[in-house]
Formats: sequence, structure tokens, C-alpha cells
Amino acid sequence: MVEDPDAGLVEATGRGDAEAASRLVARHLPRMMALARRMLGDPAEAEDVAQDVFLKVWTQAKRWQPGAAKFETWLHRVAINACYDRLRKKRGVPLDEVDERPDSAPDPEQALGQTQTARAVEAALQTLPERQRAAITLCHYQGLGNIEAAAALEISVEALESLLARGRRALKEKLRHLAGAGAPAAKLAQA
Amino acid sequence: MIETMTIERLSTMLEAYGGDPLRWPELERAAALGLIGRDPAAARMQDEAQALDVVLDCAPASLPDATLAARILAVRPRPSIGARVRDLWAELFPQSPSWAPALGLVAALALGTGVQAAAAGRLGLDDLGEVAASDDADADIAPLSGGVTIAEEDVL
Repeated sequence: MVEDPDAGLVEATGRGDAEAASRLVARHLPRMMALARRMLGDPAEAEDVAQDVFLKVWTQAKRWQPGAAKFETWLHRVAINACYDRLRKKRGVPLDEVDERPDSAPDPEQALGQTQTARAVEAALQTLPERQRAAITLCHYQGLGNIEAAAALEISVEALESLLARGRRALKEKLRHLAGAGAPAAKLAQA
Repeated sequence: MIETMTIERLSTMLEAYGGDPLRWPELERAAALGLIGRDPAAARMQDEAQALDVVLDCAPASLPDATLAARILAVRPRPSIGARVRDLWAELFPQSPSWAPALGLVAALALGTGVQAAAAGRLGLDDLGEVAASDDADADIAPLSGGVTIAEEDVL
């Protein structure tokens, strides 16, 4: 049996408890927004994804069976799939066929010239293939453990580690251009 | 818990999860930290991984718009009146069977019909017309007050 801190809230939400629903949103909305923003690079689209995710929560809460998986892991899976759907619609190509194809996001070096480190990092993230970006978003930014992240992506832990390593290698290469933009970047350039 | 850590496995872990021990697989964390404590080369590898972590942490995060939570909650389906009756019943009488509210409703309807029939018998047919008229008036008012109907599945 999986210990789930959200189980009570989800069950109460399924019964129509407004207070529980409100607490569930307060607890998870900021994280869902952050995830979608990093996956899509667009705050407006991230809001749409967050709404889609909770719409699914409202319809599924009544049928939620505690014990099988943590609610938060399921929530991340729903959000990642919603992001994949949006990315796929933008391209009109099935995700599997574009897995290793980078996005056509702005060049990180160019973004640095325009603004600051934050935008350069975001731009670099957007150049990663979707699955690598999803793995890094879940593990680095959302703080999921390797088992939860692998479950959210519906892959093995070994496959997760491979995606993470390839993603981080690509980011390290792209962000070498940050040299001179600050102490962390200078250290990265030496690494 | 993994008790031994090789430099190769540590390298794989750092490449995947970065330099922050909190992101490492829980079962391997202690062994990895042990190796880093003993081996300066392992410590240097962790430093390098942490340098990338620091840069990645600069990525902006989106905070939700102040109205977003309200918009999300606004589309939440409201529970039916039957579900609310069931929940209230369960709260008041936790030991009672789940069909008890339905039985109560049937009893109330039967009692109401009996009272109406008795009143009709006492008042006569002319007066019964007035009672029927007042029922119609209730029917007109019902939709204005939300028009709640109890579906069969809600009662059962």
C-alpha cells in the first residue's frame, strides 16, 4: 500500500466537498503550472494545461482508488500527457516520431544576448526533445523521486536515467555559452 | 539500502540526477556520499554536476494567475441533492445502512399522500381543486429555486 498524503482530500473531493477541492487546488496548482511552463515555455498555455489537469481531477476523484499509486504521481502523468498532446498538435506529428527531434525554440545564446540567464536556461530547455525535457522537469524541477518520475512517464528507472543523462549533457553543452554571465556559469564552463 | 558504490555508478548517477544528494535514488544515497567523502576525484565529479544544477535553477517558474484557482474551482461539478442527502445521513447516522435515506424518502412521500387524501376526504371535491391549484403553484416555483430533481441513481 502506497502512503498518500492526498488520499483524504481526493476522497472528500470526490464526495463533493468544496473545502477539500479548494485545498487540493491550493496544494497542487503552483506545481502543475511550473511543470507545464517548463514543458511548453509559455505561461498562457501552461494555464490551459493546469485547467485541463484539474478538469480531469474533478471527473476522476469520485472513482479514485487509494493504494495503487500516489495521487501526485498520477497528477504529474496527466499533466505531462496534456503537455505532450499540445506539443503534438503544434507539430501535427505523433510524439514517438519526434522523440529525438529538438524543438525549434530560440537559440539559447541568442536569448542570452537579449535578456538574462533565466531566459537562456528556459530557451535551452525548450530545445530538448520532449521526453528528455519531461524527465528533467520531473526530477530536477518538480522534485519527484526516480521511482515516481519513472511511473509518471510510464517508463523504467533505467530508461529515466538515460533520458536524464542525455538531457543534462545537451543542456551542459548549450549552456556553456553562459560563460561570463555569472559565477555559476563560469564554474560550468570550467567543468 | 546499497552498501557499496563504485566510481562508475556514481558517475552515472551524477550525470542523470545532478549533484544534489536529495535528487539521488534514496537507496544509493548513503553509499554515494560515503564514496565522495573518501575519494577527492568523486568529490570533484559532484562539484561539476552541482555547477550545472545551479545554472538550471535559474530557469523562471510560473506562478498561477490570482484568478486561475477560482476559475478551476468554478467548473467543478456540484454533487446532486441525492448525494448530499446520503452524505448528511451517513454523518448523522454512521451505523445505518446505505438504503436508509431512500426508505425515509419513500416513507415521507407515502405519509404526504396519505395526509393529502385524508384532507381531500374532509374538505370535499371543491376544496380539493384548491389543493391541486396550490400544488401547481409549487411546480411553477420549483425551477426558480434551482429546479432540483432527484434521479433514481441518487436515491438508491
